[in-house]
Amino acid sequence: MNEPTAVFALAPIQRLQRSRARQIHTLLQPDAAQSGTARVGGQAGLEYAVAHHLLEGAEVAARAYDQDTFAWYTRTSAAGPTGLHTPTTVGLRIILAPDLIDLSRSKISETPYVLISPATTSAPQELCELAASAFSVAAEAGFGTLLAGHAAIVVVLRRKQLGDTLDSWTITRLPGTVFADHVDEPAVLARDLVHEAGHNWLNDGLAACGVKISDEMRFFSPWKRTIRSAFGFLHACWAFPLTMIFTARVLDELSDPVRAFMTAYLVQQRDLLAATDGDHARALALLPDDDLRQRLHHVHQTARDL
Amino acid sequence: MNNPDRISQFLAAVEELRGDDPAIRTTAHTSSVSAEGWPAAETQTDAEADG
Repeated sequence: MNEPTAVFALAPIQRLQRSRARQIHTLLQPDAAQSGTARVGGQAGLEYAVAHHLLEGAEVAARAYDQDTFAWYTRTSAAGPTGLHTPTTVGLRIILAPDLIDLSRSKISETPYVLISPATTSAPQELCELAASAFSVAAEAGFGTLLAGHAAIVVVLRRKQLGDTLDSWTITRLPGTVFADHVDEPAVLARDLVHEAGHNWLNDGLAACGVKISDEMRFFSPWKRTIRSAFGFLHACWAFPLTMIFTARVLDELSDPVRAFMTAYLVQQRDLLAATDGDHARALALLPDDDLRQRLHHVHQTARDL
Repeated sequence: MNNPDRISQFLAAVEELRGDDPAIRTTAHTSSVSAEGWPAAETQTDAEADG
């Protein structure tokens, strides 16, 4: 049984995604008829992610009074330009690999980012195939639902070597978009997609359930080795365990050196997670939503039992 | 063709859309696993800003 699937299927998130995408679509195309079709799964996740790119891009164009670009954003379809689509096991995805020098920086993020624009092209074929393979590996391990809804746009950053430092990130203004380095190994990219999609899921879950986490209490994070807000601590205690569960599920399918690398990762994460037991229970108590709290506890405990 | 009124209306609507949740958070993750003792070097940040 692919047990993680049940953890990620949360009705308020699905409603939030459909509602938010519809709001943005109405704002961009006020005269267009709304589709009565209730999007589900990967298509809903794709439209949700694309909507936020179109919104941000249209706003930048509007503030610059760039009418041609603004017009492009207001006529682009909800799933984005078809030329950008890559078919995967979790549905159509958009895989990008911009030159790093072209990444934007602005007040909407501490990290660089890229927006879909009229000039955007899909990543090279080999990177699209790598990403598609990563989605397959993750889905086979039970993380298809998570990635379908929360990793619809993947921005592939730098090619690294196994053992190099890998960077990945998400930003709340672009939910459903993941930025990640890669080592040309599907399982490693899948691990980082699971981690970042986990962040996107939790951000959506908190918003969908109307939860604000008090930052009055702070907790030691063994990953950052510092005291963090409850928000950051709970995020870490959710995203890292997800990668542990994923790793444990795929290890037997891997060959060295990737298997040795992922085994070492799991050993490392076990030690780090063990240091969070008491604090995680206290941080969870700050969550007023029973369903959300139970899901976060379940994933943490499942990873602790590995 | 868009006109300045359309753009102004759009920008006003964007402000309204974001009005209920202006917070911006970033989660950045750096992982490093090496062959020499497999040291951890994980960072994760969250930040809030106006927006």
